[in-house]
Amino acid sequence: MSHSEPIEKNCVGPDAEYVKLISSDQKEFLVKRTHAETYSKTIKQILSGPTNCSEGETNQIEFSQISSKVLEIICNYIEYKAQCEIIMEKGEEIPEFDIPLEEATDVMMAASFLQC
Amino acid sequence: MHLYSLPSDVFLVIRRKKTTIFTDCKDSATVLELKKIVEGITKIPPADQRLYTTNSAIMEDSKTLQDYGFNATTSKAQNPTSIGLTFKLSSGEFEDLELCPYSTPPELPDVMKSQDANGQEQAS
Repeated sequence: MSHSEPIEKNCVGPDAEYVKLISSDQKEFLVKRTHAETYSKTIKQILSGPTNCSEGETNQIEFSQISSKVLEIICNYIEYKAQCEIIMEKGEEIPEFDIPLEEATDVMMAASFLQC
Repeated sequence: MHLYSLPSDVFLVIRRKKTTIFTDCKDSATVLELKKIVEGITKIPPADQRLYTTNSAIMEDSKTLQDYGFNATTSKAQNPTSIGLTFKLSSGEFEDLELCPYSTPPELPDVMKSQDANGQEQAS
């Protein structure tokens, strides 16, 4: 599955902590860069791969196939995984992560693309 | 590597028009601290920001997130609380709170539908 990666204006500096994920309908989602790279191998590869240094500089990735609703769920999941690690360290029970049925198949496709 | 050591983290989603920022902070953090996080991302100074709770109430800088009812129980990572954000316009007025709703995904083309079935079989 190919994905487009247009070059946007720079948002380095204070932005560097967050990475911007853009959905097919131009909605922007910012998540902490460390979380995104840890829990999505694809995002990590895009940001750190030698052929895609424009993304590494601009901290923006555009997903022309993923809608905003699905991307929101993905971002929620990334944050949820980050929180789960801390909970597991403490040995407590991990809360469930619910996905609405209408989005489930789209979320699965996006998840397999993003490897998260 | 872990950034959080206290159990009282609240997970927030800050929304303004087409932008959504996923972030978290402690429930003892003040609204001003949250605005500083937003400043780091949007480069708009806290003085030109306004944060709104889910009831569209304007949040005061001096209050903490706890004061507005945000705590670890209500704001979990998998279900974060939404906070609205508006900026001050050049006229001195603040923009209206406007959250673009997310779109529904488009209908899957047939080719992808069959791929889906395979994916689900492999997952189970």
